[in-house]
Amino acid sequence: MSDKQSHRSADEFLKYLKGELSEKERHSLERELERNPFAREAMEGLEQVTATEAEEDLLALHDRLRRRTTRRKRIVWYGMAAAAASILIVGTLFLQLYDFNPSPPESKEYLEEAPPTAGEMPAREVPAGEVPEKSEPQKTVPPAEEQSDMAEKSDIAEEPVSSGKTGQAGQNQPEAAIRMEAQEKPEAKKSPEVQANAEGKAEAPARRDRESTAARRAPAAEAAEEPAPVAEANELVVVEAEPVSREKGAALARSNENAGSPQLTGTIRSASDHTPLPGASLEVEGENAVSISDMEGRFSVPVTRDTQSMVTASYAGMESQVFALPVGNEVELVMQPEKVKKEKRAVPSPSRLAQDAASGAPRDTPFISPSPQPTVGYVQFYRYVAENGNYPSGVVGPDEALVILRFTVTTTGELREIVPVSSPGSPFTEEAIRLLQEGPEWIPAMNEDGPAEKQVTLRIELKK
Amino acid sequence: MPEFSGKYRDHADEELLRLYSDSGDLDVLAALYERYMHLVFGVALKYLQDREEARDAVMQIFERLITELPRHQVRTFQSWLYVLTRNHCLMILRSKKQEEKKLEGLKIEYDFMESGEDLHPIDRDDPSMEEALRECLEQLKHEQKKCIELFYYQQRSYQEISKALQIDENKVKSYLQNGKRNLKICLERKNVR
Repeated sequence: MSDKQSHRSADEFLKYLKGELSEKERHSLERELERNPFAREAMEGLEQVTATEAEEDLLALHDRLRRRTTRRKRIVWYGMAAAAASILIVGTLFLQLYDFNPSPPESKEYLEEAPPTAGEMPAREVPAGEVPEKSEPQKTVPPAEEQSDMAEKSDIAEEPVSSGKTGQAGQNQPEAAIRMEAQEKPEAKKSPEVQANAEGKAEAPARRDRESTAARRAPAAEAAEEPAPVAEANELVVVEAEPVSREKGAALARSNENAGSPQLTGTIRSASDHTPLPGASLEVEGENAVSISDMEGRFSVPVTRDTQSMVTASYAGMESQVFALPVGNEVELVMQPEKVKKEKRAVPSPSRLAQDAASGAPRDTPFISPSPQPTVGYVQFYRYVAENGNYPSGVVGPDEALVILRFTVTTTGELREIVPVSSPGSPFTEEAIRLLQEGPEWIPAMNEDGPAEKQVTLRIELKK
Repeated sequence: MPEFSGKYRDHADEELLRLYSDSGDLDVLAALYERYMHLVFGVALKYLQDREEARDAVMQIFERLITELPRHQVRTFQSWLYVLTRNHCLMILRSKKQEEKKLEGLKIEYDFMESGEDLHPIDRDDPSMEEALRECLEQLKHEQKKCIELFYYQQRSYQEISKALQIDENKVKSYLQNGKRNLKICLERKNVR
């Protein structure tokens, strides 16, 4: 019944609604409505608005569809350019201020430094105005304002936050060193043009806050000035003290004390041909969160226990498996294809669907999915990231920067509380968050009762 | 309505589906989707009761097509699209707690068509059912019988029937639905499917 003959056009529907059809023609379309519940329900819906409105809407939709299929890659190019420009301007303000020296894990320093730092004039004096900027996600703080307020204070306050690990000579900067230098250096950053920074890098400590525009949705870190830096330090878990180049795999597992989120890392592949499985979901037993594998099948699962964790790995078309994994090791998961060709894949029987629809709880439909996903699917999402990701400019870092983000997908598909689990530095985090927010929409996880809120841990790679 | 691309006009739905799965060309999928966009929009309007939301839903469902198509063996695109559309709308409604009451008020369709099997005998235009149908028709209540006769046997439109019988068009539709249901029960009792 889907062949051309029985397919009634939109024009016919519109004419019917406008009363432009003869009685015979009306009857003919009505026979179709009697036969075809899709057409019948659609007509019911269309009758709720005027014919003119319906026509307007359909024309607009045709337009949108056309634009959708042709615009594929021009995703928010201009927005990115604007963001990049502001990053540059603001970033250069601080690039020259800080120097990076080798040091033990930043996290440690954070905790130790924060209080004393707070004691230092700069941090303390962070003006009220500063804090909101830091935490409020959507405010775009004009550079001018920043310059004045921030001045020394903000910069320094930012410092701790800067999880900036720039692979720069593979070292992390110590808060202490930075602070000190910051204090020494006067507010040279008045002129945005001052570029120079040998250290280049992830200085975006301040930048990060400044930026605070669309990019950041830091969960609540605001609150008091003093706690703020520390709080943020906690969020921006530093990857590791060693040369940043080895971000993937084991390195990640060996995270820092401060992290609060040690990780299980590994690769997931298909048993049949050993190809990696992108977009597979791994869920730790008892947690309402999933981690998703990237294009190379690599995943990073944050775990809260140091002991063995049971993890359920799922991938469409494969038998779900439960694994016991120790933390700290690289693991390889191998998935077997589904043995039984479940009819679950096909459209369920009509009467079943009717029952389900009536009870409001679809079961065994193709749309149950344990993890949230981008509307376009993970593979396309990763492609989007690869095509639209911008390696932060003027920043020295690893060739392939890995940012692991964790966020919540609500039941309506909104993204909340986007937090970096690990990152080479704030500019990378910013870019990853920007990609996520400006990218495809998300669909929530679905279980038998409908959409469910879930946390997702995702790996985003930025290449030079 | 404008056509995305006239070059696909003569392709059957399933041909376009195959073409799309081979080439991954979104233009092909869009051409197919366009054929039914008015239906998707209409259903979305019915469930979401808001033009803007319905428009957004139409685009979201297109995105869902892209994700879901590769995962299923779709035989009849139109039926499958119907299921996808309803599910998507229901999902949106469920996630808006305050829309609970709207869900109840909706006349949820229980009829699904799949390769013609679930079509009501009278909609199937099957001559072999002629006799049984006539017999069952005689047993219907007056109004239902009249409406069915006028609609199916005299090819009248809802409008005409409404005028002829001096009843509301909605009542006409309702008599038709109820009449058909009763016919089906009668036919089943006679062991006719």
